[in-house]
Parts: sequence; C-alpha cells; structure tokens
Amino acid sequence: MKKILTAVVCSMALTGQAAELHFGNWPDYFPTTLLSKFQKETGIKATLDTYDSDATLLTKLQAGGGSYDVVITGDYYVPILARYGLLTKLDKSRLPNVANIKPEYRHPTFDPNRDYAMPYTIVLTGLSYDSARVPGGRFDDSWKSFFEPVAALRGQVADLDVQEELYMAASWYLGQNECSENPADAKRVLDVLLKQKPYVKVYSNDGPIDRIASKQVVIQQNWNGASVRATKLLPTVRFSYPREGVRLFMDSLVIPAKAKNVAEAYAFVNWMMKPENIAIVSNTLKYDNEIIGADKFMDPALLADPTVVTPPALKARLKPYRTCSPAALTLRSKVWAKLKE
Amino acid sequence: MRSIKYAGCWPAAAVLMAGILLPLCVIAYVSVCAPLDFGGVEWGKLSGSAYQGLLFEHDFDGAVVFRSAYLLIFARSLLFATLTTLLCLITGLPTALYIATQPPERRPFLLVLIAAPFAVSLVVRAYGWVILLADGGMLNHLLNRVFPHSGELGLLYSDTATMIGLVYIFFPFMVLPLYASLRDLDWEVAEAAGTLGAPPWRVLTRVIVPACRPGIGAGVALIFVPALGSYVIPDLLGGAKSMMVGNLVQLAFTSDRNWPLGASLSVALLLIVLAVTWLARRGASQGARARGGREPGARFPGVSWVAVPMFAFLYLPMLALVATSFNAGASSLIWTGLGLHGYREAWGDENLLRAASTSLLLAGSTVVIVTLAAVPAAVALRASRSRLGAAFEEALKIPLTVPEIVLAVATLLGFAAASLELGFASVLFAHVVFCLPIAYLPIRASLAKVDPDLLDAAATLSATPWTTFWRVTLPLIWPGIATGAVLSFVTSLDDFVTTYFVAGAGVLTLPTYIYGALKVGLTPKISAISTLVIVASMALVSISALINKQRQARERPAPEAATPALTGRIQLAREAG
Repeated sequence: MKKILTAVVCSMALTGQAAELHFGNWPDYFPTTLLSKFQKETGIKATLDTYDSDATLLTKLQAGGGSYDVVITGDYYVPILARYGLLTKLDKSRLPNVANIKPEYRHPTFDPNRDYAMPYTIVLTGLSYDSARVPGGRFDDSWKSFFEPVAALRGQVADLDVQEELYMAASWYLGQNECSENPADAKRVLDVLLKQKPYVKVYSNDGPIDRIASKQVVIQQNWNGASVRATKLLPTVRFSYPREGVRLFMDSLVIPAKAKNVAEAYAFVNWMMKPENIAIVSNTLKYDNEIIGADKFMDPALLADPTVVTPPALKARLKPYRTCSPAALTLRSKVWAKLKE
Repeated sequence: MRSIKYAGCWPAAAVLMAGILLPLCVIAYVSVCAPLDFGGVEWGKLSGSAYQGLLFEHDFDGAVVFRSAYLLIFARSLLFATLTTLLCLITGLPTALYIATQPPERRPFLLVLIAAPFAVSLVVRAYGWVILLADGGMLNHLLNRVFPHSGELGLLYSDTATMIGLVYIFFPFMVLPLYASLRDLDWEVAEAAGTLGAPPWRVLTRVIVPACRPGIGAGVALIFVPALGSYVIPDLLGGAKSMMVGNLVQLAFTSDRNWPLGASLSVALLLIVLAVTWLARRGASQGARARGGREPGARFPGVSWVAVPMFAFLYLPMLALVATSFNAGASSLIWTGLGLHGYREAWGDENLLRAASTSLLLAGSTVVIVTLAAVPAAVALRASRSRLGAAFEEALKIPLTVPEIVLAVATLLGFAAASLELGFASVLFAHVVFCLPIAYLPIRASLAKVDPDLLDAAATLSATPWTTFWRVTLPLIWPGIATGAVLSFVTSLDDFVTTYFVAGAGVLTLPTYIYGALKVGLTPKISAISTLVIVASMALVSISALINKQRQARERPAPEAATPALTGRIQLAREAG
C-alpha cells in the first residue's frame, strides 16, 4: 500500500512540473486524440475533466470551483457566466487565429464582440427517428410528431433533459416567441409538455446516440452530430428538421475568470481555431464548425451530409440564439419545475 | 487534568466542527438568504422566500397558490422509503432465518456473501440494473426467448425500476441486524414451542418475531432514513421522471439555479430524518437480551425459497456486468459475440488511469488521516465515563445519520462561503469527514473488549501511559484499526455523491468517471471497468474477512456476526445515494 501511495504521489509530483492545462467539457464531446496532438505540438500537458451539464458547470464556477483553465459551454450560458464575472475578458492580441473565424460568425448575438467566447462547434437540435420503426415509414417534419406521438410511438419518445431545449421546441410548435414574457404563453408551453409527459420514456441529455441506436426509443430529440453518429450504428436512423424551427446553437471555448494557467489557456483556444485542428473535432463529433478553411480537412462525406451541412432549402428553419429577459427566463424555470414535479 | 484527558479528541473534534457543524450552519444560513437570478446567493440579504417557496408559489398570473408538488415529492419519498423498508423486512427475515439455521461453519461465508456487495460502488451496481432492465436488455431478451413476441417490458426508467434498485441496495441492512438478533435468541424456547405442538409459522410469529424486535427496529432505522434521501437510484433507474427529495435538492442547485430553495429543501429533509431517527431510537431501546442458549435446532421449511433467490438477486446485476464486459460489439445491450475490446479500450484510456490513481491516492490519504484522528479519540473516550464523552461519541456518528446529499451540498456551500477553491484537498476533507465514524466505530468496539486488568497491571508495573498504549493497547486493538481502515478505504473509494458535488477540476475519481461514462452510453468498456472494480472490491472484502478470521481464531469464541453486522451498520449511511 505504502509503495503504491509513494508511486502515485511521485508520479503526480512529476507531472505537476510540466506546463499544464485543465480543460473542462461534457462527456464524449472532445476527440481524445486531439489532446495528445496538442501536447506534442506545444509541450503543454492537457487533462480533460467532464461535467454533466452547463447548469452543473455554472454551479461549480459559482461555488469557487475555478480550477478549470478552459471550458466549453453553450451560447445560452455565455452571457450568464459573463454577467457574474466568471469569465476572462479575452485579450484578442493573444488569439491571432481569430482571423480564421468565418465572417458570419464574428458577431454572434450571445457575445457580439466575441469578448468572452471563441468558436467550437455549430449544433442543431432537431429530431432523430428510426425510419424502420415509424408506422408507414413516413415521418412528418414537425414537432407535432414529437409532442403528440401517434399511438404506436407512445412511450417510445426520449426528450433531452435540458430546460431551454424543450422550452424552445414547445414554444415554436405553438408558434410562440420563446422569449415571451406573457404568463399565458408559458402556461401553454407547460400544457404541451405535460400532455407529452406520459408518452416520454426518459428525460435525459446523456447517451442519445446509444439510446436510439440500441432501439430503446424510436424518436429522440437530438443534436445533429449525435444523430449522424447514431446512423453509423443503426443505418435506419434519420434526422428531421421540424418545420416550426430548429435550434441552432454555437458551443464556445471560454476561459474562466479564475483560470490558473492563463497563458496555456490562450495557447489552447488559439490552437483550436486552426482549420486542421477544428476539422478533427468535426470529423469525430460530426458537427460543423465556424473556421475558414476547415472544410479542406473535413471528411467529404460529412460535408455532403444534409444533417451536418444544412441544405439551403431548410436554412429558413434554423433559429439562432436570442437573448431573453430575466422575466422570460423565470417563466421558463417555473414551467420546468412544474413539469418535473 | 481534564483538558489533557480529552486531548486525544481534539483532531476528531476539529474535523467535526469544520466538516459538519459549520457546513450545516452555512446551509441553514443560505436557506434564509435571497437567491440571485441565475444561481448563487446574495450573502448579505436575508429573505424567507425559500421557505415560502416550499409551500407556496406564484402562479403564472402572479397569484399565490399552494404548492402541492413539493409535498407530493416528499410524500412519494416517504412512500418509497416505507415500501423499501417493508419489502426488505419481508424478504430479509426468511433470509436471516435461513442463515441462522445453517450449520455453524457455513454461516460466516453466507454473511460475507450478504455484506460483500457493500464494497462495490453504488454507481456500478446501479449500472448493472440498467443493463438488466433496459428494453433490449437481458431480462427482456430472456422473456422474448421464453415467450416470443412478448415485446418490451418498459421496466427501466419507471417507478418499478427505482423500487427494485432501492430494495437491492438496502436488503443487506435488514438481514444483518436481524441475524444478529437471531444469534442472541434462546433457541430452546423455539424448540420448546415446537415440542409443545406449535407449527413453524406459529413459532415464527409468537417466538421469533417478538425476539427479533431490536433487529427489526435497527433494520428499519438503517433503511428508512437513507432510502428517504436517495439520489443516484431514482436518477439512473427512474429516468428523472418521478423525483425523490434528493433529486429535487440536486435540481435546485443546478438547472433551477435557486440555491436558497435547495438549502431549505435540505433543511426540511434533515429535520424529517432527525425526527425519524429519534422515533426509531425510542422504539428500539427495549428488547430482551438472552444470550447463548442452544444452537438453532428448529427448521423453517420454505425459508430457502426466499433466501436462495435473494442471494441470486444480490449478485445478478454484477454477473450481468461481467457478462457484458466480454461483448465484442459497440453497445452493451447488443450481443455480437465474445471479445476483449472493452478491456483493451479501458486499458488505453488515459482518463481512466488518472481517475483510478486519484481514487487510490484519495482513499489512501483518507485512511491515514481518519486513523490518526480516530485512534486517539477512541482511547481518550474509553477512559472517560462522563456525559461530555458520551455526547461527543454521539456527535461522531452524525455523518452517518445526515443524508449524504445534504452533507455534500452543505460542504459545497461551506467552501463557497469561505471562498475556498474546490480541488483535491476539498474532496479529501469531505471524505475524511464521512469516513471518520467508519474508522472510529470498529476501533471503539475492539477497545471495549480490551481487559481493563491488563491496563491496570501495566500501570502498576509503572509503565507510562505512552508505554501502555504502545505495548499493550495498540497490539490489542490492531484488528479494529485494520477493519476500520479497510472499511474507510472502501467507502472513500466508492463514494459518488459527495465527490460529485465537491470535486473541482482535475479531481476525477473512479465512480464519478463511471457515472460520466454511463451517461454517454452503455458500452462494453464501462462494463469492463465495472468488472475490474468488482474484482478489486471483492479482493478487499476477502482480505478483511481473512483478518477477522485470524483474529477470531486467537480470541475467545466470539459471535461471528459481530463484524458483518457492524460493517452493515457503518456502511448504511453511505448508501444513501
């Protein structure tokens, strides 16, 4: 025992001497090979830690768990984290690869001057379904298929356990503004979700790939990249862009205010904006990115896949992030609490 | 003089103050603070809104209405805890009877069999059930083999799955105290009843059950309280659909972003737990203690029909994990042939190796610290017979009574209030707090067995207290220290809930790693890792069983139930997850 302990302590002490970086992310959202490539090219030893949701990340950062140097977070949480002073305001002179960002992504609504967030992936939230098990093999591209499943699919539906995802989808299904401050609108959203609840097998934002690929469910509210990966495991899985609206969100790299290895953090964020590096992310996770020239390194099949690169005809269905007022968000939390009771 | 006498208690007292009292004060304080819009606390601003929020809420139109939902969740938690307790009692009594009526040489093995699953992380065992219960999982496959086209059971992510998980986790807590009671039973009475013509069921209801009352009381207290605060089981097996209080607390701190509400829920849960514990104590204190008598002679036909399936029930999920770890496919649920790629992938995973070494370092450091704090406290308290000493001893057991999720959240808030950074040290501290009683109780138990005459003799022969401690006491209580060390090592190694809340960046332990991986998908790799955890835990159990066997060989004939029963009593609160 003592020997093992000594060995462990020694190895920890040794690794502590090299330049290091603590990188936080959701599980299964970063290609493991990329960290060793980073270490090889920069000499910085990066370790990956995972948290299960943005909400958990917020709680940890608020509670002083500031020992992450770089984290990945959704657009929705960038303004919240920034407002509480939990993020480093970026010095762009240390990030020359900012020039690689495609012009249309240089001024995102959640961070208009890119003061805090640098691009990681572009994610769409729509529906995955198993075409082999949908009655008649036909699936209507509407949130109705999800919120009011036909009799044969009741109990075969999985929802993401993410407040904003479900709230937005239900709002659009009703033809409402997701940032509405009108309590009656919120009430209608709750009614849709409560009506769906008996038909929902599970609320979970984890393992959507495995769930539909192993035939646990027929319909999964899902992210497009996860859907592509599920199709690799079960070829009959398809992705649908519901016509009422598909959420388009951008996951970003941010540096927490309390980061310790700031120089390494900048080096990492800048490195991730090189086309050849972000392309590895796209090739592994099957999400598009915001970097000029990355398509040269991306898998041609991926670029041809309408689930990854939205066909022009469907572009009108995409709905990017909008800043909602605290009053609107309070209504959202209330609906969520009532749904989960 | 007095201060010197209690000097040994100081380290333990410091841990209790900083690890229990302060965090509970902080959580009580946070519960009366005003919340911020997006989580966090406005530290200076007092408000009763959190407690109002427990009972009342603003409807969408702003009207204040009664909040039935929280009461419903508390009621559901109480119902689930009650049902779990009852089911464990119904299955536990025949199992305890079965063990007690086996030949004496077989009993220690059966007891170890009951207690061994404690040593395997809760997350791992819950995962075993996920594999068994999922649609397309093992039970479903089996059913479809026997009755083709019977379709999907839809068991996973239901209240039934939650109940199966809870009974599974808590079953041993009923068997072990019941068995201890049966050991103390005078079997001549049972035999006499039989001779006088009472049928077995009559012997059972009129003799055995009344004699088991202390064991039943202990079992009820051991199961009901932690079941009430469950978090992991309803989360992983219930599909986050019908929550228990523990999930509600977690939700308040994460996606609801309302810390004061979470704190007030924790305080409410804590009060209920304290009330139940107090009632259970009042009820359990009576009970005849007739020690010895004859070996159990009465036979109870039919108990094996319950006991044997229950043994299978205990090991089924672990067997499922071992089986799926050799699957060649990408998913644990789809069998594609025999293969080792799960193990190969596990071996190549750098994060896993890091998690394993963090876990070992954490558990090792925890053991060293708790032992250094527990031994002097136990020695000092043995010498004192004062009320203060007794009160302190009770205080030492608090970490076992407070639901783990409450203590975890309180510790997190404590660190936040002190603006301490979360990291390895914070996790280590939290582990030391809940492992302290686990190390303390076995040491105290073996100290109680030390013959006072030996100590007197040493003193008479002019040995200093130090010499007496080193030369007499320490060698005698060594097995107790070893048991405490093994138990706290295993507990620290398996902990999920506390680590999950308190860990910062860079602190990834095995259970948190498995929990994270589990959320991504059910793969043979996780099964392989779980299998390795099971093998390692079982090895630890065997070692500690061997230590006890050696000790018993040296000591006067002691009831073999003592250690497993103690283990059970100690492990209970850890299972609160």
